[in-house]
Amino acid sequence: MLRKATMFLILGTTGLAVAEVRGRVIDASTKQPIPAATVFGDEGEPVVTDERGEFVLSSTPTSITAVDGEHEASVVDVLGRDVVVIELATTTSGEVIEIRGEQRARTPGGVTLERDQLATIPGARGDVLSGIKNLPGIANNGSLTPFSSGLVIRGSSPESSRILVDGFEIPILYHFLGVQSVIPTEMLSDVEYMPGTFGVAYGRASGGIVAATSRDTPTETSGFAELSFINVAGLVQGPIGKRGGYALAARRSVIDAILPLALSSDGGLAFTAYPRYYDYQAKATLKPRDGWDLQAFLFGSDDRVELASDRDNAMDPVASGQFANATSFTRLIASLRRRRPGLDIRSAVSAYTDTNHFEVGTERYLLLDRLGLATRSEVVWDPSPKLRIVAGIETDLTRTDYDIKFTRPPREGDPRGPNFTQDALIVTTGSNTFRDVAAWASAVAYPVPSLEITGGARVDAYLRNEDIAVQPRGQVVWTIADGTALRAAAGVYTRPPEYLDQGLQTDLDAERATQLSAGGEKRLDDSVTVRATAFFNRLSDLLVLPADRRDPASLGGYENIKSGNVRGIELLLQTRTERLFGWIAYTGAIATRRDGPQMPERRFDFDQAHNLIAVGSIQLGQNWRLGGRFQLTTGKPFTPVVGATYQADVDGYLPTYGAANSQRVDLQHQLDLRVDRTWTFTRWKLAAYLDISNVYVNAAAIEYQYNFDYTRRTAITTLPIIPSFGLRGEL
Amino acid sequence: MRILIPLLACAACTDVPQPFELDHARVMGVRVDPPALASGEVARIDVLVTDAEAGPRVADPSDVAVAPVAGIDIAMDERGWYVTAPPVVAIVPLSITVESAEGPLSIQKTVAFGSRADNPRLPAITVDGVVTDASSTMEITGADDRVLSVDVTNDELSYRWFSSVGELVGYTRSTATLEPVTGNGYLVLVVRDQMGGTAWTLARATVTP
Repeated sequence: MLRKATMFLILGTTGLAVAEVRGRVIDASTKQPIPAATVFGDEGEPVVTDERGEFVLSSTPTSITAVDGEHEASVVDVLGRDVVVIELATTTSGEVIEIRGEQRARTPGGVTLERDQLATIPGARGDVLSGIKNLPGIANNGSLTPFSSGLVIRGSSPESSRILVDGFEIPILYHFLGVQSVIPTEMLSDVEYMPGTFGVAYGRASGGIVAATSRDTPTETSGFAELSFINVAGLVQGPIGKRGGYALAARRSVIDAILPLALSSDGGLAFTAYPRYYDYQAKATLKPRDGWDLQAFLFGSDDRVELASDRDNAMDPVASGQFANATSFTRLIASLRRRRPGLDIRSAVSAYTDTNHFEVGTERYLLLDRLGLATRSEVVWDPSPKLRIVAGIETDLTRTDYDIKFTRPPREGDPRGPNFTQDALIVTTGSNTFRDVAAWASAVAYPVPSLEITGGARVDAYLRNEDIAVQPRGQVVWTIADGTALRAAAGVYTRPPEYLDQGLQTDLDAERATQLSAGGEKRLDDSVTVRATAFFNRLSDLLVLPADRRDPASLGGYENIKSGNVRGIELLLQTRTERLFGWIAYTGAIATRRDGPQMPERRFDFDQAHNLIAVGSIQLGQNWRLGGRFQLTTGKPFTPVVGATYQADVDGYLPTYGAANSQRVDLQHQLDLRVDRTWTFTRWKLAAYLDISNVYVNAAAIEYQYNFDYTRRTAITTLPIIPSFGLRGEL
Repeated sequence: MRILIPLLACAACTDVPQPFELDHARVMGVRVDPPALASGEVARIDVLVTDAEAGPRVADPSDVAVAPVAGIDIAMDERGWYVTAPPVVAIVPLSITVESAEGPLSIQKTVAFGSRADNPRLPAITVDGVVTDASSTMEITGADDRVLSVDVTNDELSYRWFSSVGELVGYTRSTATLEPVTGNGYLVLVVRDQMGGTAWTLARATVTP
């Protein structure tokens, strides 16, 4: 009997001791355990599964192999995971291994996401990276809203967190307004979410990290084509010889075809170029010898939208007429990995381009074009069973060409949006070059089997600003009993002052965060796990524009005088059985900022006191899956307008604001539903889904907009309902 | 993407008072005549206001209060408020408050001291190219769009139209389009130069089917 397998990673952490790897071998179709299967790693002795299909490897292999009868499955990377589920499926050709692994979280509150779960979460429209917004610690900033493009992790600004693909940063995670992520689910093997207190291998972030790993190429040819309300997509993948593989994929939005049918033309606001995006991915792998892995991954994204309006804009006449935005990026990552027992060496280089163009009216523009080269190398060495050494180095050289006639961008805590008529203007053309270098080292010790102690430091040198940041970090994990562990971590983190117009100054220091977290997790039974994490982040040297944007003094730039505190708890109760998965996630947090030493403390713009998410999905028979998602969150803070003064010379109004972020928009709640149906034919499969966001049409307020003289306000709301339907044919 | 907020909101702002409407208490313009004064000259301050009941008008001086400014003579008599230029060269902001049926309205208006400048010439309103007489009621018949413009266009001026007899498109340009609505009301045009000079034309209008 041939058995086929593919690798998946499941959401959840166990926090168990690392001196062993536990797992289970099951039949992929019947989900029944496979007893007497042989499992062995690249070190240590082979073991045989018991009558429940379970096994324990008393070593820490980087890969394991499962053997069922006379057929052997391929080698699978399990580094960093201590519970794996191996699914061996009957097939008529080929031989692949299917594994789900519970990856041991690398930080308190950290989660590694399972692709097949996240892709079927209602409201995520099949998108894994949209699904991560359902995890604890991430604020609900809606979908298809002006705020939904970034991730607000544990009370940090979106630019304080980094999104990595194969170790290198990408500038955006989502296409236009968060409609979909820039890399399709099918090109990813796993996504690791680290909300804070992450290890020394990650830097340039004072918030959290989302690290996606591109998928290994397959050993047999397959592909799919998909059409949905969101986009049209396709993928082809297959082997190259016996030791290589390829994957090609591309997507293009179809919203520019649908919008003209849905929008009326008499609103005075018209698209001259409807929002459209595309993205593409090409990956090739080669394993010339056992333990060697060469990869090349080219991917990119391009978003454009142009709006035209014939309406007067009395509040901001210069902004009337048109708005255009073009955002694109390209990444080419080449990597080499060498593995042998006790040693894992990875080295990679990334060449990249970024483009970010805004045009408002006919006289305001912000044109940024970046070109860069980054490298990253890391060594993981296990000199003994009780010690692991990790060391690495990163370099990043970026040239930014800019052509700017624009106001200062929106500022956290400032209720005034940009006013292109009245704000002071930055008018400049030129280029600058950022040279960032980082090195890190850490040691992981296992003095006793139940204890894991990690300590290390990272040094980031932001050479253009002559700022060197030393960041010690550490973590302790104590496994009290099987399935029960406690964890605590602390560290210092920095973000370089390179975001948008911050790069115009060389006298700025990096923003800093001192992060603390502690928590515990317990496996209640085979299918239910509960976890709790408390965290505290002290933010300092945050960048702030001290002067009002209308004041020419604002052209003097930013200062490192802002500070903040974030404290909160995260709870996660999750279950997974053969047919059902789901979780309840709760985050309670208070995030505050102080705009200067003498300034009063206020709520952070995205402070979210409570965020409750319940997700469930159940397989009904062989062909149906039904899922639901409910979210209840505290409304976003806002600063009320308490009056306005008429400015007679410019015929405009200057609002008088109440206390900053002293009020909140209404409580938000939303229910999403999703149904999946699969038809299996002899040579191919057809899958259809219907995904409806905001089923009971609750258009929640996300922000208030005032009329011209600030006597009335209206709410900007989430979309009342977002239906999405898709069809996919799969070989 | 926060830049998008005002643009997106634009699509949803039709249910709130529009800048061209005369449906609630607000200030439409402040005229200091002359707007720039030589030492010893005297300028009169007028505030053009409107509200839902009384419509557009120059505010009664008794409803206006100009906050004192050190070293500058600011006074009121039965005809209006006056400011006398001191022997200095300066641009001074005046804080003005006007009482209205909906509460006090706050204003800031600058006046320049040093050398004299005059307000812009009073514009004449044309409807479909025909100059109207602002002293008599404008008669508009039918619901067809009407083109409002000024008799002489000046690129140095900014224009602001107001209407209570229909919606206006292009109310910040020298030429606007009126979508007439049957009834009695006003058409108002306020022009400004870049030195603080202000002038306005206020005309009664009647729209019949």
